Amino acid sequence: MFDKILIANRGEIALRVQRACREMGIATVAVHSTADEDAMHVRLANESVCIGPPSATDSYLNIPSLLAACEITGADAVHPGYGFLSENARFAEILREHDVTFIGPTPEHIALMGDKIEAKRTAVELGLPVVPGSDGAIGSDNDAIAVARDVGYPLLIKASSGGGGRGMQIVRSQDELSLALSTARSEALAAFGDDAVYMERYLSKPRHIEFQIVADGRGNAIHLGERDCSLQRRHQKVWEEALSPALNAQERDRVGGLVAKAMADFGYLGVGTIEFLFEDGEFYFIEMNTRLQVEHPITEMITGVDLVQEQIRIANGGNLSVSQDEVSYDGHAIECRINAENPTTFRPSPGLVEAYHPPGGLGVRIDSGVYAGYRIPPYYDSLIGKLIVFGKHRNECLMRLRRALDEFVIEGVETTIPLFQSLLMQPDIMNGEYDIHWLEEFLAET
Amino acid sequence: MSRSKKSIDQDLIRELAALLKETELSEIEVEQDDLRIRVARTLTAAPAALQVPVARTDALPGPLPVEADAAGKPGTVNSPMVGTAYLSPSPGTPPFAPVGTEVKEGDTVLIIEAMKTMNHIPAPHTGKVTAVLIENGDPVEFGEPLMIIE
Repeated sequence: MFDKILIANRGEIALRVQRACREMGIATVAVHSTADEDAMHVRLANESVCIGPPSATDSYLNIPSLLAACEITGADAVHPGYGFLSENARFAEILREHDVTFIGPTPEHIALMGDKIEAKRTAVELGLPVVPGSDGAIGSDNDAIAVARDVGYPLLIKASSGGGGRGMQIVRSQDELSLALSTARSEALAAFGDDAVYMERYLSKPRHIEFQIVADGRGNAIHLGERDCSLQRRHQKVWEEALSPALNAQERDRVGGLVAKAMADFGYLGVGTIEFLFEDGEFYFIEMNTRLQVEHPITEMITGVDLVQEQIRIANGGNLSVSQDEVSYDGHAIECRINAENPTTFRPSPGLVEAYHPPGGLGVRIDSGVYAGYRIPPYYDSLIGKLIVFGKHRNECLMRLRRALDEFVIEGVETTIPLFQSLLMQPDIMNGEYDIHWLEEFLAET
Repeated sequence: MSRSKKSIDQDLIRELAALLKETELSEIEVEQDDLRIRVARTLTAAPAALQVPVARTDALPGPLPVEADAAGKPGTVNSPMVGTAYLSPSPGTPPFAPVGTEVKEGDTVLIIEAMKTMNHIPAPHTGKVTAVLIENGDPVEFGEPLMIIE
């Protein structure tokens, strides 16, 4: 087993990895920018290395600095968390060249799934249903018109190097097509350095349903059920739940079986998430994330599988800790991402957290690096922490979530707790009847 | 680099400084494990803390000597990168800039090695080396105080 893991991330996920390593008896190295010197995981790790100034480019994305930190501490593996370099094939490749294990998939698989056009092509080859769309990148405007006619309006133009909801343009009719194409191309070039775009049918009221998979790199893969992440604001997930209120056991087993087989055939290594849009009983593959996801805790709560420990074990050449037959779903879990933002304008609110008292009790889990006296830096994301509740069934979760939100004390910065409190008063939320547009429509009304 | 004991040391220094004031002494020195702290003041100046590590190990983790003064002092050269610091061009050769050396801005004062590349660290300004805060072969992190050039 690894002697020492370097945690190449920050905030709550760095703390999550720190905890897993500690439980496994693995020493940890916390790397941090100067702005994160007082981070909770830095205080708890065995060693820490300051890797740069506040800017992410010069610190958490600074590959030479991270490599040097591995070198001076003798770390034999790196856990990249999520975001930052977690889906950077080059980083994975460089670590491999330096005999440091990247806890994640192979650079080849990261690169393949990072190219959204290739990912979709691969999904088709692996037998997954996909959103009807262009076969690969769009060429000339004339090509576009022809493809668009096949795909049908309204449609989406998506950046091949995008993902996570970024770099998408809606086109409602042929008149809008030319302008949307050029806008999409120039935005894609600016944001991702690649102006390749493809087209997909626009689904009007889909749910976002994603499946958690785990694979050992030797052709064995399982799925751990789905998560419903339909409640999003500007393509950022805000509230996730497992299992989805919209699926039954039959659909779960069918699609779960499909993705597990796909990943086994693919020869994938590590954890990953296959994201679908689900509408009118049909599943449509949109992308695969080759890393741990923010919302992984809700899957952990209902399956009992520690996904970070699983990642570490697998990266070390170990077997999956459960077989598909042994996977069972117990109860229901909901996660709320609590941000340091104004709850109505969503303007970021970094600063000093003067009072902090998280909720507790049965079935309440907080994944957060924040503490009273901690200063939330302005340079990174505004996530204060994740509030996760677990219950025997969805209704118990909802009651527990309301109770937990009411107890949560965070003073000194604005938080989105009031947003969740108001969501819990909406009949649609109580009934689990929402799609990916629901939250923005709700926010527009209020 | 590893700061497991940092906050305790600061509290201790604060305590000693308060004790100094209370007792009207001008100097207190205490030794604790492998750490020795001397707190001194002149009648008109505020208490100054000087901390000298009794034993310095290369193995991490270990208590980091608190360079409470050095970090903020004008003339401090902080590390621009992560790596292993060497004070001389190669083993056995004389160091670039031992205490007392007059250096010009741009002169190499030490080397930081990372991934088999030797990076020459230049003096950011002209002056005299009054303190070298690290030892040859020490691992250093970004922002770590390396030496003082006044």
